[in-house]
Amino acid sequence: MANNDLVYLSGRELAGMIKTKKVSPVEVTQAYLDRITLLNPKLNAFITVTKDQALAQARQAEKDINGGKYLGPLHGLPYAPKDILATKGILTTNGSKVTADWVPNYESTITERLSRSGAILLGKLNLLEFAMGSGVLSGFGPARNPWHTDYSPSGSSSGSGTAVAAYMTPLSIGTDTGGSIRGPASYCGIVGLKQTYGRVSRYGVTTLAWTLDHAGPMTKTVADAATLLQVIAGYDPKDPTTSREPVPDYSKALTGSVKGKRIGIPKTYFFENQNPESDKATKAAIQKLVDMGATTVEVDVPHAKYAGSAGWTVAMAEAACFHEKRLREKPHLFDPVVRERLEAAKFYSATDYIKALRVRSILQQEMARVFEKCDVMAVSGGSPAVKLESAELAKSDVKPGSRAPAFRGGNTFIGNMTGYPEIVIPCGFTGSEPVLPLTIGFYAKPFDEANLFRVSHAYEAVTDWHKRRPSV
Amino acid sequence: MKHQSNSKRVTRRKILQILASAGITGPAAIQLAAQIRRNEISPEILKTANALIDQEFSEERLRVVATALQRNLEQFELVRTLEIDDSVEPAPIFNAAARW
Repeated sequence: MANNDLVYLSGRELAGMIKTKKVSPVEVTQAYLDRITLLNPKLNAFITVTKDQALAQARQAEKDINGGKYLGPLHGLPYAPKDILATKGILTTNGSKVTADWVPNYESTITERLSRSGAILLGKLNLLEFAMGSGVLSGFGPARNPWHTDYSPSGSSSGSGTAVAAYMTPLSIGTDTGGSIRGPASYCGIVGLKQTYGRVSRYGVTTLAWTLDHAGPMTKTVADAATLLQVIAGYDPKDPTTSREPVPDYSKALTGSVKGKRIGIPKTYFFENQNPESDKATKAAIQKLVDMGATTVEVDVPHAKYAGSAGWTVAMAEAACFHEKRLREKPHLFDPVVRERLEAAKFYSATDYIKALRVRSILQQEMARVFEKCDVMAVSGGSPAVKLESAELAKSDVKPGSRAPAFRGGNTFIGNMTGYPEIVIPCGFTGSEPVLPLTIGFYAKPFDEANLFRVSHAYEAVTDWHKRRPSV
Repeated sequence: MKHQSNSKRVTRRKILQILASAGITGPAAIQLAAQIRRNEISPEILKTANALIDQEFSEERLRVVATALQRNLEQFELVRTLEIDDSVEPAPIFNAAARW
């Protein structure tokens, strides 16, 4: 195999070759660095590339493995996190001109755990400013969708979606406050997991909204997401919201079998107004799982349509509070849309915020009832990617001559509002040019990521959507 | 839990009383009251609120914010008009300690 082709292997495949010394971490790292050099001018996925440090880490990993000190499945494997995770001594921009020169003197728990497991940092990935959802520009220019560079990779983990889909890194960490892992996973056709709130530490992850923020895996395959979660999950005394719930061995869920698994099909909201091609693809994916031995059961989240609006209120109110000082002192450095959203949120009322938290209570109760009837709940992964907005249009949420579109953020926001985990996986492609990925999502009850991995891995094992390559 | 068919509207008299207490009277108050009742968010309305939240937004920023808030009004209304049973308390955060 030519070294350039190493990038097309999954993390799990590479880990096997590294462990058995068929390939060295240096060769793997160099292959990814070459790929980044080739594609980053076109895709703008990386803000910072830590080439020298990556190669030094790779040489050390090679030495350790050859010396019999193998640390596990991430040892010698490259990764790149969204540039909102603090990395000690390495530029951490948050995708913003406001913090463009910030070099943290501490390490996020996630990157610290990955480093301890022997993973190699390739660099830091582009994002929408301060992880502020879609429609926002990065202070470092937009990342581009590798399936068609005129199209958006979505956000806010835009660089993560782009880099994984374009084989510039096998593993990434994104963050998700209302859908910012799952949106880019969907637009870019990769695996995105927003695990249970409290499952993964957010220490050293710049806040967007305290009660909604998550940081989780973005990968090419389900097995790689499981491996990443295994390493980063678990209690962290530095983050009081993390849970002491034991972390199971996720690899045991990767059996390929869904026999007897009950898939909840929501009768309202989650599949409504779906793009026809997405609708066809998600229905086919569910049928495939049924053919493999799963059963379906009708479920309902009657207040799901409120999740997006209530979630937005919570997110923006908390974000406006978190960024209060920066907004007062450096308003001109913010992206115009971010500034507009944060300033508008100053006028949200306390009763609107509290009412949104009461909606959260209702949603939590309704989701709990759903999982009395099923193991996972299927939802639409969303519509195919849309074109990147022109710079002029991207300056405001308020588009000339248009009414606000109906806000359809509930499919993802419900996971942030309730804390329930969701995985998004590829399930097809559009039938006409430009050919763009389609995805399906699955929710599970809190701390039951294993069932998400079981179902999505079984589907992935009998399909090849995740193996298709963008022509970029 | 059920939806209200009509959200409760504050009376014109009540709005005028509130504006008067903020020092706004006469034709300006009548115009603002009409905007509030029509659910229109204008820079003038925000200027009053500006003082309440102790902000110093410029006229230009108030115009931007007013447009943004007006755009989101339907989303606010969706939740505002939702009638929630008195027994439902707010959930400030996901409780990781709870058993599922």
